[in-house]
Amino acid sequence: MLCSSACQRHSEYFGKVEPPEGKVFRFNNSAEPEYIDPNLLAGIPDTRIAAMLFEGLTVYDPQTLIPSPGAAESWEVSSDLTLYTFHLRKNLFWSDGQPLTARDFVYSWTRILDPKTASRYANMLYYIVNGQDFNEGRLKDAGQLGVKALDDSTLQVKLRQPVPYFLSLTSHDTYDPVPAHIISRFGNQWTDPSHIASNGPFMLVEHRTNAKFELVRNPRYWDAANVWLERVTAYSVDDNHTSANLYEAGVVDWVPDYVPTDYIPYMRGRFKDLIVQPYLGNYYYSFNVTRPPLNNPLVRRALAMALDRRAITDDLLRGGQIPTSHFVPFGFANYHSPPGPEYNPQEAARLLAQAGYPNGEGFPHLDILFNTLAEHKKIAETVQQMWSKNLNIQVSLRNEEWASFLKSRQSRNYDVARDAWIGDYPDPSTFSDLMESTNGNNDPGWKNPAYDRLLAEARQQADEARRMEILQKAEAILLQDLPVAPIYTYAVNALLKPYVRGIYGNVLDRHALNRVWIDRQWREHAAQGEGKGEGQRD
Amino acid sequence: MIKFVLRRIVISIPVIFLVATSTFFIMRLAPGGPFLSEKAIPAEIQANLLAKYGLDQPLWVQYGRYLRNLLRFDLGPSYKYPDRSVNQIIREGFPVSLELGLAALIFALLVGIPVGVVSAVKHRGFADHLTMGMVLIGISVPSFVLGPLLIFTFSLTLYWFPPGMWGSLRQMVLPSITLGMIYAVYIARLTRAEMIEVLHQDYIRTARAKGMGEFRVLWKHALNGAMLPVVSFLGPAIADMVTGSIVVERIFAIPGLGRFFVDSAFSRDYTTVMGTVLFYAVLLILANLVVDVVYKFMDPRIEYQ
Repeated sequence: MLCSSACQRHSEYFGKVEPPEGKVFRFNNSAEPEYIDPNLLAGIPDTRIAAMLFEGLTVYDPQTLIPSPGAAESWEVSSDLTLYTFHLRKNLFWSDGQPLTARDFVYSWTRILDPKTASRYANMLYYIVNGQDFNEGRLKDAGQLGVKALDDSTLQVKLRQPVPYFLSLTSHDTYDPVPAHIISRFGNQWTDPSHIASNGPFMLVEHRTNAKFELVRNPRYWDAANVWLERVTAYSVDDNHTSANLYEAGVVDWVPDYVPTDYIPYMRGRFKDLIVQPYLGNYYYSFNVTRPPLNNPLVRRALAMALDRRAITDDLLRGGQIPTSHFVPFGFANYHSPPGPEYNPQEAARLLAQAGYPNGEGFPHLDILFNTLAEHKKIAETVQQMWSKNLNIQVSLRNEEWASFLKSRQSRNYDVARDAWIGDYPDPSTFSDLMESTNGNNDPGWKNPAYDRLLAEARQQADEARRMEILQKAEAILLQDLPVAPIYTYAVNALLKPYVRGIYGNVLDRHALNRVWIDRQWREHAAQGEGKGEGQRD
Repeated sequence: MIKFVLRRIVISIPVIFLVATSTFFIMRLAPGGPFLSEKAIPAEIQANLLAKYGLDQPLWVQYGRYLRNLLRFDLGPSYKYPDRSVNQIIREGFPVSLELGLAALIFALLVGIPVGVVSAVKHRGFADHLTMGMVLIGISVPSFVLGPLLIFTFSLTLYWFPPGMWGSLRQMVLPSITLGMIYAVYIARLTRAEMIEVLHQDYIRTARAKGMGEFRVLWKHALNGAMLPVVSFLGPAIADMVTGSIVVERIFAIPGLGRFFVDSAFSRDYTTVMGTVLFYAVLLILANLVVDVVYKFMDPRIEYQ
């Protein structure tokens, strides 16, 4: 049931192409969000809802990802990049009419760092002076945090180190304000549609668990005049095939991700509404460096060089993924990864022999750990074959369901494990920090003092070009020692109806729905040719 | 009768207690916990989370607290969706599962009984072979095949019904058929078998001999007798339809309770696992009780001690 006769009827697009009545937009947000409280967010579906409801000091420009004014209209930065002063817009309001001031930001940032809140993303605010100590309970006085409201519309932030990308962080949802007056009244039920107040372009009017979120335009949003949509419906359908069915039948206008992987090779090049976009995330295999034989860098290099990544992306997955031998993905301005372990079976076999296992003889039995999912299984099987063919070593596959898998990987009960990382902000450090010896996501258990030192040095560096150089040096060490075998950079596969305007592809997969509108003359515009046919909003 | 019902209710209390206790401890044997995620949470934050939900205390303390709350019908907050209580999740999800189950039941009865009657009356005739052939197909096709087939035909080709979601009458048609089909064919077979037997009974011959019309014979005398096994099948079937709709809920994106039953176990959402298991246990006990009572009304020969 790959594709119904609807495909033949509108052969250029997947299914119905009738725009919805009125100024409405409907999309499938995949899984039911766990939290929509910006202080507690856990997953991508959570952030898609929160991004519509709340707005931080700055917002990502959806085309360039450059932080642009949000709740703050301007800011000043000290020359050492440790003191940021934000000037809020005048007349900012919550959707219930209460004024929004700099104190709301102080409240929100204090709340997310408060150990009692137990926010999973609190470490995004560790850059703020005393943020980490307060969150980890060593400091009890929230008054000593490096954030102060100088007056109603001025917010001053002191950072513990120069952070050139701090404006990207303030564009992240964890830095959004939350309404103190609502939270104090309703506690953890404050996000209920009957209680919530928000400051973003939309407000929440209905939520049905595992079904949908209904949002309407927030008339008190400072830029409400430029929000075209009156209503947004975000469905919570987590089955990929059902999601594609809803899109095909014209029930939703946008499927931001999770197009069924078995559809993609068929759809690519056939339907104009399938959008393939590189994504700021890498898929890699972690080596448990605390166990022999993987504690031997030669063995790790041999394994990494025996991987034909292009065969995995282009023959197996076929979803637009980019093969990579780097740990930091493509797409950061001014950053160029040093060379990584490219595919070279002869060199790989030579390295393995040098490590004491000529032609794989005497090589201990290893297993590849992955969580139960068809795609991970296919990749693991392919890797198994490549290692067998190129190195003559046998590995077995070990799949576990999600929670058991995470437990095994985090407690280092594995040899080789599927791993991945999605960047939180557009700076290489969102990746390089992972392999610091103290990082909780350092799954391989790799400790390299020179690497740690370079990261520490980069943190004190206010000069951007110099900082990039240091991070590149660090990655060179990582790619020499290879605690991981990089495999590919992710791609987002989305479905977007041709009449939707204002959704732009970007590597963070962040979208500003306040820019979205429906082009009812899309057929005429499409006929006029690509690029020119953007049309005008009515 | 009232004594019988009361006794059954009293007996079920230790059953529920046993279910609660075994679920509580078995669940904790599974590796991992509710606050694991792909991005490792710093140890301090993990500790904060455990403390917030009292999961840092010894297991027996947690168990005692759970039972105390249970006595007040408080199933606690969901660990995965902390802004919602488990009571709220059941309150929102169960009516949807119930609606789906009832709609499937209505479909099953409306299709199953007439098909069974027709086959019995035309026993060994063409209509019998035809309907029983279709029944065989119905039994062999599982819901995860039937659902997508119906969607493909009626949603994506003919555009008659939406391919998913829940609420409007049109949205209810395909999921109800998908869920109800297997029950419809069972009911058809049961009705047919009983009907064939009943139609050979003396009282039917008597009714016909009195000159009663064929339709009246079937409707008034034969069907009533043939329905007993169908009713006893309905008890577990209803419970099954209401609780066993997980696959159908997923295919059609229906926000019922069934998916929580499964998903909560995967996400180690302890309170939701407990809440849904207990809720379904109570539901099964009640469904069986109701069947026994209805049985009594339909067949006065049955005595309850």
